[in-house]
Amino acid sequence: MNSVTRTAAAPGVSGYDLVWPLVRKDWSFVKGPMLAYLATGLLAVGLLAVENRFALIVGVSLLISAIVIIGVHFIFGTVINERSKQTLPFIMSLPITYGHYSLAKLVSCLGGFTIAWGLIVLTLLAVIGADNHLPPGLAPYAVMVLLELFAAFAVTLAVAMVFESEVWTIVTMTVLNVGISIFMNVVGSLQGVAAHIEGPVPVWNGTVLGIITAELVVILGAVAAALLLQLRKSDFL
Amino acid sequence: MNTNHIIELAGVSKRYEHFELADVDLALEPGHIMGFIGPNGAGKSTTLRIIMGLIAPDAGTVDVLGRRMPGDQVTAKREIGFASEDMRLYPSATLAWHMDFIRSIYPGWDDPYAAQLLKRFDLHAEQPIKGLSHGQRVKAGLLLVLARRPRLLVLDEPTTGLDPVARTEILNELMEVVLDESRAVLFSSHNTQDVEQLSDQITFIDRGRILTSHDKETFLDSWRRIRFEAPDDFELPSLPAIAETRRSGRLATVTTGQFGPDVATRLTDSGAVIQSIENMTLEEIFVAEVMSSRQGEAA
Repeated sequence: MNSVTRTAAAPGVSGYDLVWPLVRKDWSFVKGPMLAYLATGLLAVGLLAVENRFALIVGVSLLISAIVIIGVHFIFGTVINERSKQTLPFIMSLPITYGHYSLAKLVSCLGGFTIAWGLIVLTLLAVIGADNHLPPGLAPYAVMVLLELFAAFAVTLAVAMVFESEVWTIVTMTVLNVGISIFMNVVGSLQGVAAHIEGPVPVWNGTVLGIITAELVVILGAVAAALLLQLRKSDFL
Repeated sequence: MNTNHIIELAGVSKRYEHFELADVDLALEPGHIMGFIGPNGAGKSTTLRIIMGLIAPDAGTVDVLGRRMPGDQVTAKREIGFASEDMRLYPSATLAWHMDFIRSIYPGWDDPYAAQLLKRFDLHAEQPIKGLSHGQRVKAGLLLVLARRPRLLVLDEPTTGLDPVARTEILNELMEVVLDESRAVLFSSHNTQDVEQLSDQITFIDRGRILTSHDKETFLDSWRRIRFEAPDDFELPSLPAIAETRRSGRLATVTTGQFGPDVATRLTDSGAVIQSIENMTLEEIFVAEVMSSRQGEAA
């Protein structure tokens, strides 16, 4: 009879070493569409620079749509499809825990979204800061709106990861996206914001900083909640 | 923990709203292939997922390759190859992409063996997974598992839905795995033909409970169906492990799971005229075990 030797822990190898290969794997599946959406987002920013009301409307719609679709594609392409297309058992058969898997999903989705979102935000701020028809006072408002889109993405990602339900993810996404226009109107009408939107300098007053802080809290809270709730799960398939 | 066991489950339970896996004990030694047979919904997949650390048991202990699961699953899974019937590969990626991905994770990936398997399974590495037939997808999944050279293969319904040729190719490959006596295979199926062909150890499970677990020869040797002619006043004597009795007029049948020469003697002594003592197939034994267990539960 053979005696079973205990599986040796390979030196320096842990489940965390597989997080990056999993992230690369996710990115390799979404990179094509992502580049197209990113180009659309940058094109939209370019339209904002054109001094034309129609170009402004199209630019704003396109910009918001590009950011929303980048988030949707990351969430569905990497989190929801992993379960619905039944590739999760393949991934979970690898030497990782569900914690490593969840971390990889957060890194691939948040990381990928942050890169695309960040490029669009920086480009937009550069355009607003340049010498054109866009007032520099618009910058704080633009940052608040774009952070709201980030927060909506983070909350939807958390729902997708924790509930693993296509239906709940779509419901959350729909509600939050409907909320974008409400947010833009409400925030744009606040005294501390409205008074400076068309001003010659950006004003980062208490109202603006308070809203930005709240948005950051929502983003960090959603990420932390997703990770903590995932780590508490004991059954994965 | 017994150091001779590659898998050892002791008193494992898992309760769901409509299903309970109860008090499962299971052991597999190196160099063996265990067929895990049960009807649909018997608890085969749940047990295999507990073994893989993918489901945490409510009670009991699970040791795989000397590692406690699910806590030590990262280390254990480096030497386990797992494939399940509901497992899919990435449809838009090619098999070559999957091979590269797995190669980057498992240092023991065997390129020459992978190339051999590609040829034997008649697969094309550059073909996207979405273009493969069901049989080709199963074979591709198995290639990815086998070429890692795992010490333990855990396969959940690996042959479901395959044509006879693909099934034979896969069974042959699995048989080669245990030529290396340090390795072992645990595979679930409700296809008793596959299990009979491949396994040397057999475990039956039904309704979340292990019914019995033995080596294949013990099963085949101990089960018999006895056909006999019985007089009108015939009363069945006390016989061991009777799974089923049937009578139609003077003709009667008894199925026993503990056949020995004394069984026939007792029947003859009671006035029966034995017409035949028949061997049973694994499928017949499985059905008899399940029905007998369910009748016992109902009583």
